[in-house]
Amino acid sequence: MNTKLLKTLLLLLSLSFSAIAQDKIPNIQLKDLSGNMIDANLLENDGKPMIISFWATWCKPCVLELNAINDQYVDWQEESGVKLIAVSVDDSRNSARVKPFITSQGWDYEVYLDENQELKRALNVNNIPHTFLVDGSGEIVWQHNGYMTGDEDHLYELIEKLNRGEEISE
Amino acid sequence: MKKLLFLAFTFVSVFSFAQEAEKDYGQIHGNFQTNAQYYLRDTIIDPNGTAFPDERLLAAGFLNLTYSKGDFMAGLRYENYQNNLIGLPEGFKGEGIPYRFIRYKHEGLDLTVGNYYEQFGSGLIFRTYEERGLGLDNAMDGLRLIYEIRPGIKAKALVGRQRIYFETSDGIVRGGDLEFNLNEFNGNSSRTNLIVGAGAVSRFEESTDPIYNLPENVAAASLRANFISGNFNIFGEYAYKSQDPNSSNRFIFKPGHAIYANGSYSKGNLGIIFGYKYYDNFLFRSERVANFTELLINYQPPLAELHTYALPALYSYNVQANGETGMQAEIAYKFDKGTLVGGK
Repeated sequence: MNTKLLKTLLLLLSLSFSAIAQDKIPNIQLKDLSGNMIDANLLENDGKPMIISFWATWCKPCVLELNAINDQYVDWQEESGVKLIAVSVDDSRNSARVKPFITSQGWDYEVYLDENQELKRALNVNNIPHTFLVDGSGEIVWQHNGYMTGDEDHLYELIEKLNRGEEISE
Repeated sequence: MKKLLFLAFTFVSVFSFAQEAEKDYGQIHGNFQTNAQYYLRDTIIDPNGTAFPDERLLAAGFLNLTYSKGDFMAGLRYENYQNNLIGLPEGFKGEGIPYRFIRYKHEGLDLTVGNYYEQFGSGLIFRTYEERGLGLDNAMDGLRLIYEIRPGIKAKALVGRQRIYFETSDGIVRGGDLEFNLNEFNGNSSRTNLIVGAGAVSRFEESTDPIYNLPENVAAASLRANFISGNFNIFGEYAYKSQDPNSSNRFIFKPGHAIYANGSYSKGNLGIIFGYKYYDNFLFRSERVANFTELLINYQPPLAELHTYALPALYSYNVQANGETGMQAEIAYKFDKGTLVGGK
C-alpha cells in the first residue's frame, strides 16, 4: 500500500472568542534563558499593560507576529509602557535554539521557556500563536488565537484603551 | 493509502467565569475545540476507494475545564472521537474523561493526584506530554510530588501508570529526579549559571513468558549538566537503561545508552548552534509489546529542522527506534536594514 497521503485543505475556519475574562496568570514555573526559574503569576509590568505571546521557533505565523510587533515595539513602549513577554513552547528538541534564534531576529522581548507546555496547558492554549493581554492589575482582559497581518494594530488599540481606563469587551 | 481531499472545520472557543461575590469561590475556566473533516473521494487517484473512509465525516472534540482557588487547582479534559480523523491513531475511539487531576501548591511543595505531565531534563529517560494534533498523549495517572528542599535544590518523585487511549497501561512507572540550580541556590539571577541534575526511572511489568526470563523491572538513569555564561550555553546529558527486551528491539538482552548535547553562542545579530546525539537501544515503554507512539516513557530529541507547513511536515524526520547518531550545526545571521543585502 502506498502510504503517501496528499491532503488538500479546502477550508479551514477558525473562530475564537472569549467571554467574561477575569483570569489571573496561574502559578506555574517558567525558565528564563539563563536557566533561572520564575513564577508565571509574579510576572508584572509596574501597573502597565503586558502582552503574553505563546510562540515557538518552528511556528512561522508566531515569528511573523513577533517581527511585526518588533518593528513598532520601541514606539509602543514609549507611548504606552507596554511590555511583551514571549513564552516559547519549544521542547528539548529546540529549546537550545531559542536564544540564538531571538538574537538573530533582533528581538527585545522578555523571553521564557515553557519546555513541557505546562503554562500553555494551564491557560488552555490549543494552538500557537496565542496572545494574551494582561492589564495593570494582572487580570487577563483579552486573548486571541492565530495571526494575520494587521492583528498587531488591533492589539495596540486595545492597549491604548486599557491605558485610557476603558473596558475591553470582546 | 491513496490521495484524497477533505474539508476541514475547526471550532475553538474560550470561556471563563469568575465569581465576584464577597466570598471567594475560586475561578473556573475552560475551552472547547472541535475538528471535523468531511472527505471527498477523488476517483482518478483513488479508483478503488481504499483511502476513502466509510464514515465520510470524522470529528474529534475536546473540552478542558480548570478550577482554581488559592493553592488548589483541579481540572479535567473530556475527549470525543467520532471516529478519529484520518492519519491519527485509530485507538482514540469513543468518548470519555481520560484526564483529571487535583493539584496542591504551597511554597516549596507541589502535589498532584490524578493525571499529570512531567519531564526530567531533556526527557531522555522521562517525558509525558500531549500533542493533540499528532494524536500523542502519554499522560501519567498516579501521584507526583515536587519539593524544593531549599532554594536551588528541587526533588521530584512520581509513580503511576500511563495512558493508552482510554485505558491505562499494565506497567507501573516510578521515578525520581534531583536538580541543583546555582543561581537560585545563591539567590541571584546572574547571567552565569550552572544547573546539574540526575534522574532515575523504573518500570515494572509482570512477565509470564514460558521461554525467556524477561526482566520485570527495567531501570534507566541519567546525569545532566547545563552551563550558561553570557552568550554561551552548553548542555549535555548521558543516560543508561538496563536490558529491556521488547517488541521494538526484537527481544534482545542488551543495555541502552544515550547522549544528547548541544552548545550555542549568540551575540548581536549572530546565532550559532551545534548539536550532537547518540541513541542506542534506548526506546523505553511502559509495556514490552506496544506499537507506534503508544506508552512511550522517554523522549529522544531529534536533531532536525522542524517544519511549519504541510508538505515538508508530512515527510517529517523521525528518530530511529533502535538507535542512531547525528550531528547538526546551524548559523543564523540577520543583516541590518540598509546594508547591501539587508533590504530597506
